[in-house]
Amino acid sequence: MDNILTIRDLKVAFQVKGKSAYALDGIDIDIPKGKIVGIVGESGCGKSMTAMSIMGLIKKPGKIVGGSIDFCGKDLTKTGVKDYAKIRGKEISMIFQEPMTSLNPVVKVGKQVMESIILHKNLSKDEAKKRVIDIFNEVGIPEAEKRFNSYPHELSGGLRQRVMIGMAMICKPKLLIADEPTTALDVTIEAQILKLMKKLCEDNGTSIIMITHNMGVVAEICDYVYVMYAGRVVESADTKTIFTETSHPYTSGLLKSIPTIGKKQSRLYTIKGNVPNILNLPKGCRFVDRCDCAENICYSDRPENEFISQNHMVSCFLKKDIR
Amino acid sequence: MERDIAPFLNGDFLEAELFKNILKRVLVSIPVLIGVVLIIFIMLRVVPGDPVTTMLGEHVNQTVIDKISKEMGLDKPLYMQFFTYISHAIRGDFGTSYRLNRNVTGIILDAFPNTVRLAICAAIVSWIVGIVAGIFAAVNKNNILDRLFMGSALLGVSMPVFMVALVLQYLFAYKLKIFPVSGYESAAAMVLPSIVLGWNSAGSIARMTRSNILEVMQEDYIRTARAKGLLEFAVMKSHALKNAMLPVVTMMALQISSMLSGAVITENIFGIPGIGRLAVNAIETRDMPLLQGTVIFTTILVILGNLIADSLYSILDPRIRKEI
Amino acid sequence: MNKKDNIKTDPVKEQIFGSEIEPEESFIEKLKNIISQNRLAFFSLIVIILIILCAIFADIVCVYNPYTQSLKDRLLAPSFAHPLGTDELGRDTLTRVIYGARISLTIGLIPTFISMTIGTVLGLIAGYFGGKIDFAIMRLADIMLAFPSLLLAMVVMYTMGGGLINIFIALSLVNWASTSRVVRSETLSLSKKEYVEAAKSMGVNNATIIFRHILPNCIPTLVVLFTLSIPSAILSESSLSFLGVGAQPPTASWGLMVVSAKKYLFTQPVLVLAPAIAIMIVVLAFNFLGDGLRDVLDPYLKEQ
Repeated sequence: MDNILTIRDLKVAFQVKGKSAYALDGIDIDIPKGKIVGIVGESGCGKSMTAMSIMGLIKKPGKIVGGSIDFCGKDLTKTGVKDYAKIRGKEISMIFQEPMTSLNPVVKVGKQVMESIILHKNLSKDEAKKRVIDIFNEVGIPEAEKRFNSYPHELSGGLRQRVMIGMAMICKPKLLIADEPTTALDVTIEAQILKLMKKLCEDNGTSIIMITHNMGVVAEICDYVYVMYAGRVVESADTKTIFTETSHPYTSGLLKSIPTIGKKQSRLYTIKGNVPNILNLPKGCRFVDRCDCAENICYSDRPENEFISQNHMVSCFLKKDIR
Repeated sequence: MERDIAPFLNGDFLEAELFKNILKRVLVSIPVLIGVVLIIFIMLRVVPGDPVTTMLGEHVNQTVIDKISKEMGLDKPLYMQFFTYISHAIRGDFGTSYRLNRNVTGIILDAFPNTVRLAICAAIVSWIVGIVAGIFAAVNKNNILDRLFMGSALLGVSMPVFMVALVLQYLFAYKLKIFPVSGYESAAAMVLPSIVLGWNSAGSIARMTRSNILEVMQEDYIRTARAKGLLEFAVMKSHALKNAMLPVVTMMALQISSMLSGAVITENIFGIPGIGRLAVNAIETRDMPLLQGTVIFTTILVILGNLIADSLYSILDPRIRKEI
Repeated sequence: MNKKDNIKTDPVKEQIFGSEIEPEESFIEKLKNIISQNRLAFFSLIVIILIILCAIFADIVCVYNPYTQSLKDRLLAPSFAHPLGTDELGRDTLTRVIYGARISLTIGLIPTFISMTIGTVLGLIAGYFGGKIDFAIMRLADIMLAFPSLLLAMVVMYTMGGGLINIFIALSLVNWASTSRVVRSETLSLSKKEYVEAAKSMGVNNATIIFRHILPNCIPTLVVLFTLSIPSAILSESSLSFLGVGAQPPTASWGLMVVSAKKYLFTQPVLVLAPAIAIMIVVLAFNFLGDGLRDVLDPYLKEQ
């Protein structure tokens, strides 16, 4: 398999009040070369934690306590600080949710983008500046040369996110992690940005991890989908399968909560309750308290990951019944 | 560190905005300055007893008192006195000292270099020590080093200036005999006063630097910088420091005020003939014009310091530069 | 630096604790939590209470009289009878330090209270009514803030002469401006709140709105500000007394004790150190308490 990134049994724990709290509890993820992989789930289910583990930027007191992250044959969990810095921004780069706060307010945007390429490609300032202006043109920033000297507050939200994308793409990384890149933007801008990301990745052969809670975004651009819940992957498949052969009650809950145009609904479906506290998880299935069709076994035992077809994994006792 | 002097690159428009902004601040300071003079003027005029009697002593002939009062313009109504004073003050004339029988401006200008020298030395001490200690403490958060630096910073903020002065005098001048007990001529004599005057400011600068850096390091753009592949040192240098230091720079300019207040005590303990010493002498000898002159002069310096602080902030911070 | 408009949610916290609402704690548990998170502040509070008790009951605590001179006992070294020795007039240093606490605490509490009351009233008026009154009050505050406070206090002392009462007046007059600024900005933001607008639209009179809706919301900030202003008042008094324009001999003021013992710095340092360290302890304790209170009451009030 030509996977660019392979995560196996990754565990991230926090020490809270003397106890270990597992923010990620044994997740497996594969990112094929040149594909767009979505990770979906509610806030607080471990999506961003997965991203930060890949970037090697988990904040203390969090720590990777088990598993491996294989990136092009290199185990990132065993990579030293200096080697990691050479990978970050060059081979793996990241786009964040809030483009306003993710850019340094007192440094010109051109300089912020330039920093990355000077660091990784050893270019002179003039060459680097030319490259930045090129990438600004490529990501659709009008008047690129003038914008080079702008400060973040002088740009609109959409332009800022374009700057972030330019910053992430300038070294032509093998993997781009996008953590809810369009959540803070208008819907019209959202479509443009998604299109842009898809195009850039096709041009450069970059794989994308698209972290989102929006199933619409998933349907639009993702090739594969991982559904996460409370620090675990509960279902994964290619996008079509997820939408047509939904097997986990949580996934179907997420799908049912999307409003659909032209379909008459008395009320929009909501998943009852909240994401559980990971210090205080249910004994059996983690989703049991919120599940519409939980049975006795769901309260007592933990479901295993099970492949129900070649690319379709699900972690639930019920599977077929709910469809 | 590379300074961004972007307003001048960003076109004439922003430059003009900045200039207008600073000019506005200068204009706002003028009524404040007049208010300051007025308040001091009134406060010193409500003092019980006739100033001429105070000056010459009790046993002087009434006609002599009247004559001198007239010479000094003290027989005129208060508002006339005020306008005369202001119009003279604008031309740099703060009146004549009762005791020293000299022009107050001249006395102040003689003393001023000593205060300036002390304040500059103290400022250097406090800025360097404060910023370096603050950065070290932030980088080594909750370490022994952090606690040590923050402990001494807290002592600096909490100890009365005279106590620092006396303890240092006792240790370094009397016990160890490294520095002279007092004086102001030699460089060695300036060491203790500078530390005394600088310590307090160093303490507050260190505390502010530390807390700002720690706050800034939590920002999203620091995460972005790390994600770019910058190592911690580079993240600190090119992304955290500038943001964290903006308010500190302002604070450093504002501390001119506390330095000048603190200088009163420091100058008195170390026998440095500066402005603070003049003020205390003026009170002891009940020399009203001299006291008035020193207080107004010092306040002008403070207002200038605030003006510089505000302008610096708007020059350094691109957000404010445009907003106002 | 500009405060952020959006309140950031901490993804780590959100992940560990989920979005569940944390269980309600009992009052005692809350108190325990607060104390264990602010041990230093709690310890400082105990120190302050002890000092206050000593100051109130100085007549009972002390064996000697702070003003009785005894020339044969002058400049005694510390001993069992005189734990901190005696001064140049044979007065017991420990006794004088304890009586000094009375003066310092009164100076710390009363003028600060007066100046904060003035500042609060002016700040409320300026912030609530706005317009010309606001402009006038704020320009006056600008002027007051332009003075180096020690020098201004010295001018007041020059006009009225030395002595404790005059220090009270001087410090009360000097320090109101910063309070009025804080209260004004708080009032401005509070008067835009919906419940204030609602009260206004129902025709509730201004005084009721100010005292029922605005002032109570300023109290936490004021408490913190009050605690943090006490040490600077104490330091100002000691500085004024040290310079000879504050309390006059033979008052047992800490600043005055330091200045009169200055001559003996090299021969009997304890005479200087005892009152100086006393000042330091009180100032530190109030600073710690203020920091702790700020963390508990008003996490958004940053160091100024």
